[in-house]
Amino acid sequence: MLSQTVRPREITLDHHALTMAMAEPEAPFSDAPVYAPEAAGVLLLLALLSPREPKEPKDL
Amino acid sequence: MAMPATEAAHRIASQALTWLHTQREHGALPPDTTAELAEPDSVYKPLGETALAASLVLREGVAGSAELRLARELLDFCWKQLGGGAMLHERLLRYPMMTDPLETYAHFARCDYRHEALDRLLAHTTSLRSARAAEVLPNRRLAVANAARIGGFDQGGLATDWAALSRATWLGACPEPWLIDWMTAYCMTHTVFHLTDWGRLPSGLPGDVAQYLTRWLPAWIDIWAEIGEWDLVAELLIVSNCLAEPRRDPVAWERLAGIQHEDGLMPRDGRPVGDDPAERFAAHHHTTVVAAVAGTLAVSRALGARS
Amino acid sequence: MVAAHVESAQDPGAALAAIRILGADTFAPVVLAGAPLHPEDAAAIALAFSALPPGRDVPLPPPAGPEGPWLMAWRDWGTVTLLTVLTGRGGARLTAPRPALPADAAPADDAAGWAEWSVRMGQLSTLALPGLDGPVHDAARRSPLALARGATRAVLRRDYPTAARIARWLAWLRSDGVRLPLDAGPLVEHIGLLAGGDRPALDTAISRRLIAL
Repeated sequence: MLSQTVRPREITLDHHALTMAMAEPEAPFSDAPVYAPEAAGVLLLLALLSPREPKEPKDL
Repeated sequence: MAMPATEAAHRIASQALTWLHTQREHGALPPDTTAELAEPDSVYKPLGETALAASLVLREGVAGSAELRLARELLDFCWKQLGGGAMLHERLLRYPMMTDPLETYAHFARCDYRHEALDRLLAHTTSLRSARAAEVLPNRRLAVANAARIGGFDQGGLATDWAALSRATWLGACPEPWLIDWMTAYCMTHTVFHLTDWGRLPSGLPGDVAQYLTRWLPAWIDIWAEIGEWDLVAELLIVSNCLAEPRRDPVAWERLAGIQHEDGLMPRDGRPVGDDPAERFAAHHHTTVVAAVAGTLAVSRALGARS
Repeated sequence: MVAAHVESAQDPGAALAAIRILGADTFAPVVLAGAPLHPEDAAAIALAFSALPPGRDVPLPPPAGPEGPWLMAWRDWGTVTLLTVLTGRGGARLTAPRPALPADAAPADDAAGWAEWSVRMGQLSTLALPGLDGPVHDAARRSPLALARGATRAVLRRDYPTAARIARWLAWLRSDGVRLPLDAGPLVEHIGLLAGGDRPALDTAISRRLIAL
């Protein structure tokens, strides 16, 4: 039984720490989306679609 | 004391327009420029954007006479740089599938600047299936459609199916507002610009899209203003004023007013702005154009210029 | 369940503090999944409260008073109220006075302050459980759009713990039959998948259950 294990007077809860832990403020700094060319995928798509530069023609 | 939103918007537009006028020579085409335009983004595009801003100031007609004169001079300057339209015509002759001649021309056509040969060529190219079916992003397709609308190249059988084009966009799907990235945000703002012809036709937005924007613009403006993405914030404020019931957003306007430079330059983001005039123009011209447009439309809507 | 945790803990004080912080969520399995309420768990809560009883005077709401004590008072009220609901009159004779709400209890749809308000509601998300109702819940009912904007904002800021808490109110509103301007299901799943940590995981699990009600 819990009351046999732990006696009320043995426990002290830190009021300040408890209040702080319960506050749960929002994140102080934002990590909102910014320009990220690596995330766009356009460059990759172009690389896949465009043919390579034509080489010099071989001697006939 | 907080500046009312409209006053801030007016100051921002006026100072931005002044900067664009003062700095216009930085947008001049190099002397040996041909229609090939090896670096279109850094030279040709800014001219078109300046013309956009100037043409909207003239269209809205809510600026004072001094500002209207600046806008007129700017538009004349840009038109002259483009050879009175001849360069656009040459470019389209060389690259008939390119859309930038039409898109650039539209800002001049808006104010009745026309080039006869270009008109004939555009009437032809816009009628071709190949041009209409070219593979482009949905918001870019809307850009071309709106440019054709402004220039009068969408008559009769060439009428645009706005509903279909709109449905193909990200915005048209009215998606989860919490899954949006930077690029998608710009796709969204441009979708609104073109559907409404830069705020001229708020009814160009489908009802569900207008409601969607009213709901989520405050969240988007908040998060991007927090990290100083001023260019995107200013575009979002344009969107606010393209709605049938425009939003006020006084906090955002005040922040933009606070970071605009003395000379009227609007910084793109929170990073330091250099002192070199050419560098300032290259980096922040676009954002200053956006600020001029945003402020102009905000004042216009506040004055009740359209229902 | 929690009682066993306290009994086996190296530091029973820390275990009891954790239970006090968990608060009404200690009973989430009972009110959301039909788990039985063990008398020992009720006793563990009572112990956590007796070690640091709530003050008789209710803290003033911000900005009149500091945020911390006021939040703690609301959370304690939720814990004690739910415990009383579940155990009936014969249960622990704990009391926790109900604090007041600030004057701007719920922003109108287009009012400023929705961001701060939504974060504040997130801090009270432990009240979003079946069996609890009151002024905070009424504020949520009046402002689903502000909560939805707040959740959107938190997700985009990549502040997933805050997002999980605000989304919990959206899940609760859905269980309460309130129409929402967005679909809470995918939002909750998204946050659950992208967030790390136990607290967001718990809030997500609770939100899923609320949606399923």
